[in-house]
Amino acid sequence: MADRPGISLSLRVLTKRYGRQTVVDAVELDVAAGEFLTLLGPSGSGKSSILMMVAGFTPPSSGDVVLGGRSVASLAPEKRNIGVVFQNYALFPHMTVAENVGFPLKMRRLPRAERDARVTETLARVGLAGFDGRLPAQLSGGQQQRVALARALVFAPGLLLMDEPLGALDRNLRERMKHEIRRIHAEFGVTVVYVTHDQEEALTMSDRIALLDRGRIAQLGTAREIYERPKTRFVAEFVGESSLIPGTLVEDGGRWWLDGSAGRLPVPREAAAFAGRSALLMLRPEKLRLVAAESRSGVPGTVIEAVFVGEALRTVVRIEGAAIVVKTATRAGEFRPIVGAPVRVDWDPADLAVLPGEERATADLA
Amino acid sequence: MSAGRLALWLYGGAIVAFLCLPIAIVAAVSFGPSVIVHFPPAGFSWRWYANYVGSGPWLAATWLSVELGIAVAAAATALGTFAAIAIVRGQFLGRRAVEFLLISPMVAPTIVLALGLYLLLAPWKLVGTPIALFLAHTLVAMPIVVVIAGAALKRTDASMELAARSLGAGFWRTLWYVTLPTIRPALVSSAAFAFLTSFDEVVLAIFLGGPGAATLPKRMWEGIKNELDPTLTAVSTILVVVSLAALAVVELSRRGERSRQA
Repeated sequence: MADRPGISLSLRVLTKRYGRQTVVDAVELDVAAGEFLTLLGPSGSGKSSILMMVAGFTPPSSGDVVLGGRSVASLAPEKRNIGVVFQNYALFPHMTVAENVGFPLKMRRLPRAERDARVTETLARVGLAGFDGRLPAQLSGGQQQRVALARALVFAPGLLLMDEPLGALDRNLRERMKHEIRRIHAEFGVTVVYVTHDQEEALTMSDRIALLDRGRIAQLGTAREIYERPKTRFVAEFVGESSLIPGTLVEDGGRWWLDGSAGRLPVPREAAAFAGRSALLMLRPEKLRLVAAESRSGVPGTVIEAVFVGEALRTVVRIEGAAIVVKTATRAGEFRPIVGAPVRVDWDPADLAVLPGEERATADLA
Repeated sequence: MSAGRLALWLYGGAIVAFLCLPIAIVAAVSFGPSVIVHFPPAGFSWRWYANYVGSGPWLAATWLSVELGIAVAAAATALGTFAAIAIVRGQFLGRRAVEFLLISPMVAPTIVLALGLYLLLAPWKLVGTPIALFLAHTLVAMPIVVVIAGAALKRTDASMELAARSLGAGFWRTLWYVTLPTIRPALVSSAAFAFLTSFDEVVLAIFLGGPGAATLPKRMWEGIKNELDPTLTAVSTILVVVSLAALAVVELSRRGERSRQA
């Protein structure tokens, strides 16, 4: 609904404690009107607790939830005008599809005729025209998902919360629903806060991702920023596959290098911020190349594993002090690693990221 | 059929017979013509049923029991359902203690409850009134509702209620439109069992009923004490039929719900 744009959401030092345990720790977050923001994190990272507080199902221990410039922290959930889609859809089993979708309109005391018209229109927009009379139990998982979406959008809320909505679907359907949810987001113009532990969903669907770790935002940024420029080891390891090589950053001959167990490795210019300190060099598998052992470029190593994974060849190379995962295309003419044989791993320093090192940083064996 | 299977069938059959024979014998005797209770009956007659239908005190006792049962079913179901919602969905200090307390009348010896209620209600001049029986029966019927409705609530998805809240329904409308309809079969069962609890209850009825509030089981008990009137067997049979009817209501409501959700 282009004429009903989404509204902004701000979390102000939002905190949730259960006894002595802090599950959401002073989270600050601004979601722009119409944005698709994903709260990504492992279980127990506090992402669902944030959602529950925004929806009004659990009161915050402290802090504020601001919706469209207005504090809603003390407002009952039924007064917040927020659409919520649950993992198991939470459809009312004793009501038909039309009754489910019409429920929020009935609660708002809309006249019958207007209600019916909007239910029909919304069902059509989520691709469920003609399903009005069915009961939820007569629908497939994907159809139930669409009913849940229609029900959460029919009253034109400014904000839509989605709690792991694709968790119960099989892989193929999940792929399709990902795009369907993106389409619906664009069409309805609603602000979406989407909770998931699935990094792939987060990367493909979101305008921005807030990656949560133990109740705090570890990093906030676009999918590309999170993936290519993680700020901490946690982010690098949670999103995508990566190999981490510890060392110290030094400048030599006008270029930056990481001195570590694997010898002296070239790193990008931005790494200067870590000069003289311990750091971790992060290598994404698809940014690396395998070259012949006789070649002069790259770092020497030995192939210890090479697995065909469909779209790529996943090779593990042991270099001095670390194991590096390399994903290479399976095109004809591409370098073919042989298990046990020497090989060199090469990369463009601009494709790497450097993270702050840790006290007891060790080489990460992939 | 193997010998083991045969033995199993015989064993099962014996148990069923043990459970049903007493009732079957009473039912058979109730159709007998003779003044003396005798099995097997010497013939077939409706005599004792006619006697029952024509008897003022028996009918009065029946109506009292039916009215009492309906009132108890309504009160116990209403109170017990709210209690179950509090126990299952609520989060408060002493939740488990409250749960135990609500279920305790089910495990406390009825005779002890009866004595306690007598001592409690006597100063209020309630003993011997239907109100005393209503209070006492509601007390013993409510735990059944708490258990049945509580189990149904535990099985339903609490996020459905959260969804209703987010869609604009307050607590009461969520209760009315979502919570109660989803546990409806359990509520029908609860009401039926609460009704039966009151309808065939005799100990509390003897202690608290007095002459002013003689329920059907209490009249039967008095009938057995004095002389063994064959009308008793007819009344017993009617009591069994009413119980079966209540169970049938429960089963039908369950089936209806299943076919709705299939």
